[in-house]
Amino acid sequence: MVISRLWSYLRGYVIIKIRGRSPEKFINLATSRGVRLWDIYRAGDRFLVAKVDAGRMKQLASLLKTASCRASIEERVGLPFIVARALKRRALVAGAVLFCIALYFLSSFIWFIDIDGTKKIDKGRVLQVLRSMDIRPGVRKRGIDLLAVERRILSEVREVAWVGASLEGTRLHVEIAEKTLVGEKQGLTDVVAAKDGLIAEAIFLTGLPLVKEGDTVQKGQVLIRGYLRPLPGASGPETPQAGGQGKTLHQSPPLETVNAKGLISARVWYEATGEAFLRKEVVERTGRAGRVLGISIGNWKIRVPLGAFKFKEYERDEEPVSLGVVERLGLPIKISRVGYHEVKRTTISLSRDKAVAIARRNAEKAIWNQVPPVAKVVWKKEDVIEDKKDGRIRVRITVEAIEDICKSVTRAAGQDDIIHGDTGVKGENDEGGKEQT
Amino acid sequence: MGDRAHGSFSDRISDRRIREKLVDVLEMPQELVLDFPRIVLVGNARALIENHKGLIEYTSDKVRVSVSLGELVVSGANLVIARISSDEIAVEGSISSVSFTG
Repeated sequence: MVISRLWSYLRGYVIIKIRGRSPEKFINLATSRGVRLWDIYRAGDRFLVAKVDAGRMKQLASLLKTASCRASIEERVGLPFIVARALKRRALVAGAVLFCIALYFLSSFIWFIDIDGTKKIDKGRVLQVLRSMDIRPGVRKRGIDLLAVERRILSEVREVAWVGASLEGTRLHVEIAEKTLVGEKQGLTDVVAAKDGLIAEAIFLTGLPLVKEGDTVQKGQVLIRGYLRPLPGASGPETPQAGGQGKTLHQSPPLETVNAKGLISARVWYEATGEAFLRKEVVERTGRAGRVLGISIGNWKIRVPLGAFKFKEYERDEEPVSLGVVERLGLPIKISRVGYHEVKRTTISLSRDKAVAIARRNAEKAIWNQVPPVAKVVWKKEDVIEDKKDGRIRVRITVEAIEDICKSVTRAAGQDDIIHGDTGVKGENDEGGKEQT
Repeated sequence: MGDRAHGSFSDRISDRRIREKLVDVLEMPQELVLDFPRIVLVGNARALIENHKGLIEYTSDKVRVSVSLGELVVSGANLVIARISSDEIAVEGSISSVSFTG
């Protein structure tokens, strides 16, 4: 119904008022001539109102004459009439056309610039870069090279790791991913020992030295400490004294981070042991084998040998046979295939020299896994230990190497790390400045 | 004249009997073979009359339609002819009765 009504609307129809002695005659006549009439109703005694397709109006005139009726047009309904009326209003049509043109024209400009993803970077800086490329609201879209925009922002704003520029209608969307610049966070770097060792040589570059040559250090021990000091030219040492301990870092005068740096090498010892057998019993399969089928139903078990065999020594393996449906039904039936393999024991013996060689090879392999290739080996010792009872030979290799044991560790800076005065950070074995807490 | 009328009426009756038998035997749709109108009522809101022979009278409380059996009268209130074509008439409104006369 809706569709037929829509169709009538699209084609246009006319509401007519029919007057006459016998409008029924007119209706019959129209029907027989194929003129479609619908929604006919009585309006008062002598009038009938009906709807008729707009295109059939001309045909109607002769029919009305034949039926001696008269009709008048009440209303014209439908799209064709609206279009016809609209076309009469030239200004309206012109306005609509102008509107479309204006919309199209204006949509070829950029009206908005969005910058997303910035956390620390000021959006104004990005906008400034864009402005330097002549990109601002009101500029034509066509001249914009998005790739160039991306490249320019990436090169001009140092903190940017990635830029994506895209046009969304009249909107230029710039997506930014920021770099996390290392060292920007308030942290201090110490130099700690990566390994246990005896310090052989120490060159301190920056930071507070805590060890000297000849010291024994343990893994994780702090060798050089990083600290904070007031920036040269800043208010000087008075402020922190007034503030005391309660003051936080932020309230103090601007501080400079002094990260620990240095070259410290130490003697480090490594030890590794390798092993080899002098005598060894080996069990080998002879290749002869026999099979047994094991069937178990509940607690009842039966073994069905497949062929006759008798081995003095053997290895046994068992492999369950999948029963498919039976298994899935939960029946307690199990079938397994058991294999018996005849074995023979033989004793292999190695000469001492050969055993030592094998043990040494194992020990060497183990030791060079530990000693870093950059380490300078200064001393190496080898012990051969023979274990008669086990029939084993052990070779122990001890290596002393001089290597760099510095490891930089960054930690959060605290109040304790502020050091005033220009006292010593430079030079070897300097005890450094006095700490103020 | 009365005879003739009587005669033609009996003729029509016998003719109809034969047709009715034919319909029974062959199980054909009656409205096609006997040229009967087919009326579909949807509640009291709509009457669809197929196989009509033309509109006799239309007012808002009565629609008279010519059919093969004579005349079909649909009466009610606010009746509207929603659709009319050579095959069917759709009457809408609040229908109170549908009856045959003639």
